[in-house]
Amino acid sequence: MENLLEMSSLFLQQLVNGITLGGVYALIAVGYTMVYGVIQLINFAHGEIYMFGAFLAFAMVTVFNVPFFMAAILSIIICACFGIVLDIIAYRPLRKAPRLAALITAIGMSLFLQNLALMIWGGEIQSYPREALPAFFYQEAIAFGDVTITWIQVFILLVTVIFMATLHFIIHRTAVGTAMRAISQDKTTAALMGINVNRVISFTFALGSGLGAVAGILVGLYYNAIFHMMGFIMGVKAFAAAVLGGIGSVPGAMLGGGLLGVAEALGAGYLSSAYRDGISYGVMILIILFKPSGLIGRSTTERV
Amino acid sequence: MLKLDNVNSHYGQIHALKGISLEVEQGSICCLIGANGAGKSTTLMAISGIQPVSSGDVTFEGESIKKMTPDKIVRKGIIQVPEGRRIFPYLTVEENLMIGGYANPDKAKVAEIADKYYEIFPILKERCNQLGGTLSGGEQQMLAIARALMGSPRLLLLDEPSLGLAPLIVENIMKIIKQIREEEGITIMLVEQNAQAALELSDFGYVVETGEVVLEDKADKLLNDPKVKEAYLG
Ligand SMILES: Nc1ncnc2c1ncn2[C@@H]1O[C@H](COP(=O)(O)OP(=O)(O)OP(=O)(O)O)[C@@H](O)[C@H]1O
Ligand SMILES: [Mg+2]
Repeated sequence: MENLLEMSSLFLQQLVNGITLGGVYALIAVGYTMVYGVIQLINFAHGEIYMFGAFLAFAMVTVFNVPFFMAAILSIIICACFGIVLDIIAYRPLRKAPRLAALITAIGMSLFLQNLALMIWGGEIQSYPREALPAFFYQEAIAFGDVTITWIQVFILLVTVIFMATLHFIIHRTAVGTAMRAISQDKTTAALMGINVNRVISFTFALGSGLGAVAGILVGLYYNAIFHMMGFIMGVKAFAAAVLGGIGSVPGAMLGGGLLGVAEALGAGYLSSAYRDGISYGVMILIILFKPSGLIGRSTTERV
Repeated sequence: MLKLDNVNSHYGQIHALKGISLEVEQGSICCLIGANGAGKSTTLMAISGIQPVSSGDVTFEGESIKKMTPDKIVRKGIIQVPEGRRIFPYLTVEENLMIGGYANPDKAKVAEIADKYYEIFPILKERCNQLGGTLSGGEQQMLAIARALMGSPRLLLLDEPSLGLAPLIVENIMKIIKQIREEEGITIMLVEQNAQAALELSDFGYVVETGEVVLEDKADKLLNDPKVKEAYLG
């Protein structure tokens, strides 16, 4: 009996951790998938925007003593603008070039931004001093038996749900969201209907990058570890989540993120935490081999 | 209203338009007829700003539009119904219509036009929450026309509206095109392979062959022209 209780509490604890992590994956994955939807490009530099989101908030809090929530909002806005600039200077000139050219540029931008962060902040892992953050973050919010949920987890889940709901609303209920979907289905016809395609693409980058920054800030808090490679590692996993759900599909990215987070946490809990990263890669390879359109992606037409 | 002056256009090495000149008069229906690959769609895409013009000029109401972006041209009042209808398959019928009104700053007007076309095409109203891709060809053509009209065009470009439709539906579509000109006063440029139907409807016609205008005249004259009869009218 006691054994059973212990088993189920391990399961529940890992489930909670997995869902938290999954929400973060989903926040990043929608950025990959939305950009892919409108310009069929895997924006490899997306992970770096996530990293900059974490660093910018961190720098504002620690260097300039900006209150945490204010710093977070500023960082999100800066990263949204950053996404627009990235598209305009790096990708827009290559819109009509072969796709490989844009893909190589994306990898180049990713490396460039990693090294830029390395130059600015160094290679050390940075952490928030406890007194810089709202005190309740690391306290236990709910505990039953051995299962504990910290406030930071509650906060992450809450923020994720709110942003995902807002995103869903934007994509399905606003004119610009409908335009994003139209562009992902037929760019030429969207232009023929009077949509300023470049402007909507900019909006998409802003949206994806802003959400990436949200994720970066949350993860920076969760692990309290901010470093220049964090975007690379997280980017690969979130990309795996996007592929799992079906690249180009926003609900797919949400589902893929959630599933991957839970799979990883359970894998880490039951097998060994050494398998944690391997699970994402394994899932990605299996999906690419057996169902390249993903769980709920469409194989013929891309969509947002 | 619209004037093409010696327009050339290329797809890489392919010289698709070789000095096309034509004019569309305000309030008229003008048609472009010609065989497959003649350059009709390319001409419309060049007018709409999708296909780059390598030389020559396109002017709309005296203003050159050749370097304008497609969305700007739409805002000037030229809207195209592209070949093959190109309904957004994963948007609902209603969303397709709303996209048509995207560039129209007058949202009350957009809603009004939507209501009007729901009345003219009751089938669209019935299907308004259905995905565009699930409509039949004829329904899609009606949706494509209604979608373009949502932007309140002054010049409507129609690329082969009869393509792949049954004769009865073609007749219906032609009637609607006539209505659009008569009731809304919208000028129309019609591209067709169905030369008979197009010429019967039009005031003026151009015959295009391999990227060049080879014949132009009043539509009724073209209908009786022996060369046209032989080549384009069964
Ligand atoms: N995307 C493209 N790339 C290369 N060549 C093209 C492209 N689109 C059209 N062409 C070529 O340009 C020429 C004109 O094509 P266009 O589509 O304008 O003809 P069309 O008169 O509309 O024919 P149809 O009646 O079949 O629609 C053709 O020779 C065609 O092969
Ligand atoms: Mg054509």
